[in-house]
Amino acid sequence: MSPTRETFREGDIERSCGQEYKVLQIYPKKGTNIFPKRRLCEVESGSGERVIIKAKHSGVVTQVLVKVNDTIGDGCDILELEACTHTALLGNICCNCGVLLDEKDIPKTEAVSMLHSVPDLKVARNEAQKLGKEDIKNLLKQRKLVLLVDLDQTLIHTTNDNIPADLKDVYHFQINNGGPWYHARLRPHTKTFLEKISKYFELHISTFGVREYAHYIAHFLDPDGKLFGQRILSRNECLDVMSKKANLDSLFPCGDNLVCIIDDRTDVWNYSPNVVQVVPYHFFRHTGDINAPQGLQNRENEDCKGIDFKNLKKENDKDIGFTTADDQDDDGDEDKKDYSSDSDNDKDSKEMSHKVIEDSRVNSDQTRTETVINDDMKEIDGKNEKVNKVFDSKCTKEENSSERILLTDSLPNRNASEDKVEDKNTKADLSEMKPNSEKKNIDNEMKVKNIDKLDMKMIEMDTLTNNDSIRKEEEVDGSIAASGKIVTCTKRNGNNVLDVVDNDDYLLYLEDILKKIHKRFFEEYDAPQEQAIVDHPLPDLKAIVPAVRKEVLKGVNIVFSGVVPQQMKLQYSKAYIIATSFGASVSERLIVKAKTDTENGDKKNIYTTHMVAANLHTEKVNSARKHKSIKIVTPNWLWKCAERWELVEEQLFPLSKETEKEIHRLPPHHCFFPDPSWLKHNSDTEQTDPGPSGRTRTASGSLLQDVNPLMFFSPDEKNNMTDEVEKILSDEDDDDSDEDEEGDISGDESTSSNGENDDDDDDGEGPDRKKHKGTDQEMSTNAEEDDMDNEDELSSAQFKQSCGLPSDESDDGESGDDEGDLSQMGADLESMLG
Amino acid sequence: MFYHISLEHEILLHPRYFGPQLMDTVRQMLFTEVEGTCTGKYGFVIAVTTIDHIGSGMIQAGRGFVLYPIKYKAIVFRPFKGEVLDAVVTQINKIGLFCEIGPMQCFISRHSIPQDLEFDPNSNPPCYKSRDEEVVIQQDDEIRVKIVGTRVDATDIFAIGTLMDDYLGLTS
Repeated sequence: MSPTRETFREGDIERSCGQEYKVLQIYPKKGTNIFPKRRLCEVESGSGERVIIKAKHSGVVTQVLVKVNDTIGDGCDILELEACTHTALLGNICCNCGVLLDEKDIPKTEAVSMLHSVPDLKVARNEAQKLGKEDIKNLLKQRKLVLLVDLDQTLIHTTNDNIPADLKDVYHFQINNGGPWYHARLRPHTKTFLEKISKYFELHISTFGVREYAHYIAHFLDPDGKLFGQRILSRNECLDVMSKKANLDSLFPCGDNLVCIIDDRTDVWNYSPNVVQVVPYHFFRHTGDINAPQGLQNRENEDCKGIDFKNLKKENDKDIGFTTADDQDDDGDEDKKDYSSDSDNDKDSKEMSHKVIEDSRVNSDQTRTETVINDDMKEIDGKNEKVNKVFDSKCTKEENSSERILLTDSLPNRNASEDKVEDKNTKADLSEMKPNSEKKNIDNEMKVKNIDKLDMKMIEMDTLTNNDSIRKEEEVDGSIAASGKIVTCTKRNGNNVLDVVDNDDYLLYLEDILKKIHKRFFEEYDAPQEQAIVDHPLPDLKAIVPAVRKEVLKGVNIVFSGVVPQQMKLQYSKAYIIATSFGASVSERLIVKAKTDTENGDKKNIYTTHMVAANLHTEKVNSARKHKSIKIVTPNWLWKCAERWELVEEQLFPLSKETEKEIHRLPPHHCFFPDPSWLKHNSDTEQTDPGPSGRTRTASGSLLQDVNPLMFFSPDEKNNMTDEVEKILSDEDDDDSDEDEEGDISGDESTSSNGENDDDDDDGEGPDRKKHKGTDQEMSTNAEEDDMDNEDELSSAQFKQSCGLPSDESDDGESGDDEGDLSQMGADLESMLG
Repeated sequence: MFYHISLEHEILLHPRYFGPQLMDTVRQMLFTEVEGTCTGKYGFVIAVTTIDHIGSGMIQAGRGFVLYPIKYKAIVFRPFKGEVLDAVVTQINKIGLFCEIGPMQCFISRHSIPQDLEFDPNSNPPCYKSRDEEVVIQQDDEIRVKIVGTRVDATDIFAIGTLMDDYLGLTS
């Protein structure tokens, strides 16, 4: 900010005889940008010669020092100008004065790139803050906050695999001519979600995809550009390839108080507290996040969720072609695990649908056919008097089409339905009815309860999508339940449009979470203003987001049983961290109201309200059962609460023999919000803690104990473990290479899974052993679909040992019996542990 | 500004084009190789008007390619500081606006936009407008700008413009 002056030098006009000149005209006004050689004024010499005087400096005119008709002489100042400080630079050119700067002239002050799309354009820090302040003022005036939206696995799922061309809600595009085709599937409700949330938030895209990719997707999401505008930040503009955090500072130079982030992973944001982690959206099987930064790929779940369109395509061709019954019978056996083929199998499915409908008649309180229920459900719009009906129908549905409601990943239900397909005798049906009648009781209890509106929403949605195709779904359901997605082929406008029923409804919950955050922010923002406190600091979303989270399970007192490994301190367990970060208090032992206690306000708060147990027969569970006020739920309940940020109905996660199988002892990745202090703790404990790998090995159980608890370990450790596994495998083969492979390994499985339970809780040993032996068969059948990372390693290791395994097939997922078992064991334990 | 100037170019031709259409191919190659390019010195080559002379082709030893030196006249666009030009607005943001002057990108900082035009982030698309909304500059509008500086790279020219002078601004 150095003021300079444009001085009249007589020498400039090649005449030096001390003349006086008369000013005829002055060109620049106050505030004009001038630059060298710009005309300043016209003067007339005494001899009547007119000369134009030009500028020698650049800058903004602050003052014009001469007037028209003044006479000036040599050394007289014409203008005062403020030299350009080059506050905005595009490369090496100043955007204000257009002067090309040398390397040394470029101001040393820190410059930030404030625009998403033009990272070259750098603005000086103080200028940026001025602009940032304006932004904030503008946002607050509109009562909006900033929301950074991730694309991959948050709003969309993209694959490069070949998929059918006629899928609903899937966009196909090519970034470069001749490049790979991208197929992007929008998460259900994305468009409505964005539309609604844009009233509360200014939306920005923040993705690790390349710029073209981001713009393609933005165009699909928002063809008019009214949601995102130009606020698209892609990999090309990212300042740091591993983290999105670096750009925050330059985009929001006045601090990220108003910034909220939705992303399926927090690590790229350095675990910033204003990130709302969403459940990753997974639609295409075998595809993870195609744009994950190098080395940060999260391969977990990549292959076990989603829809496999390779098989599906075949199936649909068959559907259209009406295959003969002979074909189907041939297919029947080998394709049992291939869900879509079940739908194909006419014979089976007819029987199935009869059974299913019978079941539903028997089980539902009012004898009602599905269609009637569905019609009822259509009318329901959240009124309480209809809640009962909904719940009835919901329960019916839950029984029949196992997974559609809430229990999306549950394995045993899937087993049950698969049982139906496989053993076509009435026994299976009868055995199924028992749990159903149990559910009926729950059903009645539930009637009394209020259903939260989100459940309702979901049911409605289900109804809409499932209405006509409900029978078909039921047939298909059993085998694909794990993915929670149903594929049907419907005829529309004469074309075959592949309609994929996708029950992912997370965005509805996310919308509520974000609205809650927004509301809370403006409550805090408005509050001090009423007291007329000037210049109060803005509320910070980095504090508000955790605060909102903390209110979710407020007043809930949890006792864990069979969830936290014994050698781990409760305070360091993930379950504890999650529970407390959502505001629940956790205690080691049951705290119950003694009879002598009076209804004391203080004490009331500490009584245990929830028993989160992974094991049916532990001491704690047994004692908790004696108290009606304590709700006994599975850990899945806690994970679900963490996913949705709300107190999920406990009745949906009862602890029983059936639900015990589907328990995930460890939280799903997306539920976990580690805070830095915890991370520090954890790294300490990991070293000192012997961990699961340090457990004593039994001769036969060693293999799986080492393979399964993958969740505990860093990638390095995992690699070490895989090496170990290979070594062990080879050892074993040396020992008993003549033995039947299958028998050997299934033996391993049962003992090791018991060993696992022993570690977690001693009380449940007896019944557990029985249970596991009983379910081994079931679990192994359904686990075949789940590919796992270590499957490859296992089978390849076996191949090295030349055990005669058909290891080539294992890559296709159509594993033969022998090494199918191996992969089952892995997947099995993976699913048990979460 | 546009200039009609003589330029030179060399065409390297693959032997497969040797034949009756040889000269046509050379001419065609010249058009495709030259038109639309930008050199820092001469600016953007808009169109080749006449081909004055096609020199004798020299066969490259060991390769078989033939090299034709060509003299031609072309219309070029070479912007200079201080020129007033018409542009089309391509992007508007809080720091300023981007526009295109034919093939050239130009940026106008908000300091170079008259004070009475204010940035309005809430309209879609965002725009600069006067308080009474009489003047609204938004995407795809035509504006008259004055160039205050150019950055000449090897294959591109970039300009900084201003609207702070008489008769600049919206032209439509």
